[in-house]
Amino acid sequence: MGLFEDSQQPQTEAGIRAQIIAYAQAAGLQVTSWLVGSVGQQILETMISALYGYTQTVPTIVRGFASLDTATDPGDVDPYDATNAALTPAPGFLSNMGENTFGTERNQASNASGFVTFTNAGIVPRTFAPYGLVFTRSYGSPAPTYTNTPDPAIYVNPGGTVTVAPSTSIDIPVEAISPGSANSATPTTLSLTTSLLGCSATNAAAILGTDREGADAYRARCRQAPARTSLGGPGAAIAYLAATQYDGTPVINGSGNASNITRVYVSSDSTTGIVDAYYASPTGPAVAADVTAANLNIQSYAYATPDAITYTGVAATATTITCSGSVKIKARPGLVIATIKQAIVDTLTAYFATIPIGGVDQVAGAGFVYAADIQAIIRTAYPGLYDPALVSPGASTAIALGHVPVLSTSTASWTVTVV
Amino acid sequence: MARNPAANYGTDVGCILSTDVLFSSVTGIDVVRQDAYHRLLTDSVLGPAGDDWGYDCRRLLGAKDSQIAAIQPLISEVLQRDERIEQASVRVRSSSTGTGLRVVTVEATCQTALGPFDLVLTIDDVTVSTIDSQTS
Repeated sequence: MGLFEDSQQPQTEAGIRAQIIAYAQAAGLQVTSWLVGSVGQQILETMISALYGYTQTVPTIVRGFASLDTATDPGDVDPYDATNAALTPAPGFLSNMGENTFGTERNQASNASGFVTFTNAGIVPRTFAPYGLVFTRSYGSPAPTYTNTPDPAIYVNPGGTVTVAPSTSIDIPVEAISPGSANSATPTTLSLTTSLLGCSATNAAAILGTDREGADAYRARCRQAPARTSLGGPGAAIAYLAATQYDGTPVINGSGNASNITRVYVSSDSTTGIVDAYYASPTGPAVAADVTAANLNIQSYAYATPDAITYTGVAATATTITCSGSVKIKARPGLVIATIKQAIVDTLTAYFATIPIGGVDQVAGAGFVYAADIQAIIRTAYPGLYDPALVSPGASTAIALGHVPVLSTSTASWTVTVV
Repeated sequence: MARNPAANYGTDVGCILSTDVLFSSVTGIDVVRQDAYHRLLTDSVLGPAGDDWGYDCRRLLGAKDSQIAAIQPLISEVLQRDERIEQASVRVRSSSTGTGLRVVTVEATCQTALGPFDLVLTIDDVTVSTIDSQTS
């Protein structure tokens, strides 16, 4: 390898140990006959550990500033550093490069937010303040909790409270205590946990939160960023502005959440003056609030659609692909079948989040999701998996223009055979 | 069974609680005793094969008497992970200091090819001390 490759690839602890032992032997020290745990051996290992820590610094900095592809944030998968994925997600080199070089912020995980209808069916008025109520979702273990958030239009009493008279209801904003899409709630699944006799609450609409934007999706958005300054409304500008404001910050939808649009298809050059765009999130078609916010940003705020252009932006249409089948793995200590199945589900979920609207190998916006690709992805889900066989899909799936593949699978869909 | 000369038990930096200013070395059975002492105060050490190297007896503080008695075979096994120790008999007891505190005392008699040595650790809530450690 060359100097540049060497400066990105961190040294291994074993490599440093071998180097130091070689130096010590060259100095005439009998270092290899020390027993594990002896004082001298531990002094040697202390030096190795310290040197190992120091030698990680330069490659980490080089990777962080070398390119978008080598930079990562804590919590991202890093092919050079296996420990990075286990770190608490936070801004790091990648976010720094995205913001300072491409003027684009990375979308962080958001707390699921929405509204619940609080009903007082009791006989006395109930007065409460922001963060005074707790709500719990009816599914999941442990079920996430939510609290009511401030709204000056609602909490109008002196002292910032609101009073709900008997036999009346009020819609109040709520937010999940913890961030992430796992704390989203489907309609009518929230209930009041705080004990108030005669009072209840539920959500008429979904409560939605988002995960941190994937590293690859963020890199792709950064690469689209220069297009926003281009004249003529190129497709990359529309794709960029669907989820990002002109100043590089996330588009905020009507629910107050950052847009979760990560995939955009823009129709190619046309002679008709009609430009159609389709939006999708990591899990499927974009929600209505994100579509509205994207169109508003593209057409009214960023002026990305030139005069005489008829622009239409809609949510992509879901094409559900059910995935099930079997895999094999050689027996070895520590195998847990449930873990392997979950790894398959997680890997497929991550893969489907990256498939473009219209699939791959597109012609005029229509393409495929290849069964062979799904098999190949499954093989990478867990070390040692082989011979993946799909029951479904039985063949490659055609994806129409404006359609986005949506995964349907669960751990029960997979059979793992230990050989 | 062949008896190894003391020189084969190695030479190491002398370090029970700390080294002296000259980094003096210890040899023979003292090396074994020193490692046995560290093995009862350390769960894992650095480097390959360092995981689960020993057993930190300080975790016995606050344990019930029944648990302390049951731990004796484990400590004996931990000491015999050092292949130079042929046999280790261990007695662990908990006693009151008279001030409301309790101390745990680990008494071990280890057999080596060069003869036995004793190791006594007294562990209270803030310190560990070697009150008696000698070769016989």
